[in-house]
Amino acid sequence: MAFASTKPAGGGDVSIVPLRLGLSDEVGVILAACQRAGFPAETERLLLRVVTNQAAIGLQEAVLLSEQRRVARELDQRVEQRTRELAAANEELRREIAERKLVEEKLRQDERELRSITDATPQAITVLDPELLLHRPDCTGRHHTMDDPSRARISLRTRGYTHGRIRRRRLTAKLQCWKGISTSEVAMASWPERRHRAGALSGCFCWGERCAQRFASAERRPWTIAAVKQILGAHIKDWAGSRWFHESLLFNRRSGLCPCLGGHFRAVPAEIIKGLLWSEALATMFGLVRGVDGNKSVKPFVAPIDKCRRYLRLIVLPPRACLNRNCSLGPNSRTKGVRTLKKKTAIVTGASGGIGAGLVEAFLKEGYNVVATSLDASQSLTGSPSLVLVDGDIGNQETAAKAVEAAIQRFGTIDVLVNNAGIFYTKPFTDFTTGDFNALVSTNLLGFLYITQLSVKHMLKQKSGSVVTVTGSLADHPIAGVNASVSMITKGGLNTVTRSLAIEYAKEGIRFNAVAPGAVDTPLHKDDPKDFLKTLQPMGKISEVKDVVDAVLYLAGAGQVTGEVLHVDGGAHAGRW
Amino acid sequence: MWSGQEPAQIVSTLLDVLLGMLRLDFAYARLKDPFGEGAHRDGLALSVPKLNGATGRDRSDAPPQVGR
Repeated sequence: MAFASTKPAGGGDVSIVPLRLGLSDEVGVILAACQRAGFPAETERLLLRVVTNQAAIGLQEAVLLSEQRRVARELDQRVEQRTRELAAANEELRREIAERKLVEEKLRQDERELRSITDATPQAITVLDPELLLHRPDCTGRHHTMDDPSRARISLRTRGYTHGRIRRRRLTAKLQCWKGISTSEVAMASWPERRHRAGALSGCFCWGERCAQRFASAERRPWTIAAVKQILGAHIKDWAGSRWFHESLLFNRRSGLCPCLGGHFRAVPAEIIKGLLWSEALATMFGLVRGVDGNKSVKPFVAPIDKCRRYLRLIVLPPRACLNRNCSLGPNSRTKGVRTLKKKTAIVTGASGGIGAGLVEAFLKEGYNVVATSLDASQSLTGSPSLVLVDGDIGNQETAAKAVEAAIQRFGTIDVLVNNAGIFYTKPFTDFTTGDFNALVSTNLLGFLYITQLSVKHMLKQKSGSVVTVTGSLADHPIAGVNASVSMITKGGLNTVTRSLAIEYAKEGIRFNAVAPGAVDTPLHKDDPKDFLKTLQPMGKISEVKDVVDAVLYLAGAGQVTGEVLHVDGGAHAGRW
Repeated sequence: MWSGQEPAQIVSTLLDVLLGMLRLDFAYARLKDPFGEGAHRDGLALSVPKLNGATGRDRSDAPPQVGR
């Protein structure tokens, strides 16, 4: 609809046509004004309508497009924001993973340290397996399963809580069933239980909430070595000097829900117990029990042992001999009463075969800790808690240092050094080469020099020690037809230095001896005819490895023998035959 | 013909066409939100007046956009 309006500036009328944009002017309006008379004609009106409709459509499309762009922008912003958040989360995750790796590595390191400590005192620990069988290793690391009385002893202890003296008598009787326990030892073993109620003979430690309240709150803490030592605190001095530390631990490794208390129960981890010096572990347990007991305001926690059977058991048993019959602390030993479990340490060079391998086996049987070194010790022998293997050429100072360091770090002492490594060439004197000479000097002399020097330094601190060197009977008593002149330069030198050192260190308590074997049945003579070898000794037979080993063991332990060259040659050194 | 264009451009083109085809003396357009949003960032409506220069009256090549 058009309407006329007078021009504000004068000069006639103007026809104005209002047009809606959109069906109900939701888009907007358009005004078209013209001075022509008759405006708008029908055609013009139609044209205005078509054009405005098209414009409205275009405007609506433009709005839609604008909205799409806006949504797209917001979406992009959200994606960008989310990407940033994910990147931050990833970074956080990476940090946590790195921290976790560090913690895991620390745990592994702790476990390694604990294991190394544990391995050094294998006899000190007795393990109670889930079937309630007892396992106890001997000095060689071999486990012995204790027969018969374990179940009986445990049930006996349970009754023992409420029966005072009766308990003790029964306990004594039962404990006597076990190997190697004397009556007096049992009586002493029962003492801690009588004194501390919860007892050192058996103990359970619950880490549930209720139990934590029963213990002093200070007692509830991460069960680390440091914490144990801290808890131990004032008690350690009282117990450290006690011979009751020479006991065994009995425990199993289970943990879980404590049925008697209804809380989470975690036994003191076996690794922790094992990781402590076992005497400290005992002291820890005593300390805890005594600490609670000593505080009258705190009721001692006495776990019902029969219900807690599946978890931790700490049983203090009297000192017992090593289960290895050949061990100096073994059941055949004449020592009575409390025995020390301290083991001696021997270093054996050239240990991978022949006499060396025999020496390693013999020293282990004797209850020694052994450090065995040779070019390929780790391939020829199998390590154990009592046997450390060191690979390397003994003619290198580095190998000698490694062996000595291993003995000191692992076992703490060097009681015996056996210089067994050696090579032996037989050929006419004029055929020996510089290479032969250098090889002989390196293995036979430098292999003696380096490790003996290092070992003697430690023996001087100990004021004791024994060095046994395997030389050769031919050095002092050559045999026609056996041309080993240059080889015997070294072997003869070893005999000489043995005597010299025996005098030099006699007052320091360090003994030097040598074993001079003749023909020994070892891989060294694998290519020599046996019949010929037998003719080299008056007794008419070849010496066995055991013959030489026995001689070394004798000299290692012969406290008043030093400077001796002990011939194991079937009498060859005695004269003509 | 107005595909992809902003509302202000559409309106300007529309008014030019009307002025030219119908020999108008004056044309005026006013858009409501959100159609005027493209022309005014503050979201106000768009008003576009145009005068026909062919009739001897004032005209500018870029017609002024008059805000409210």
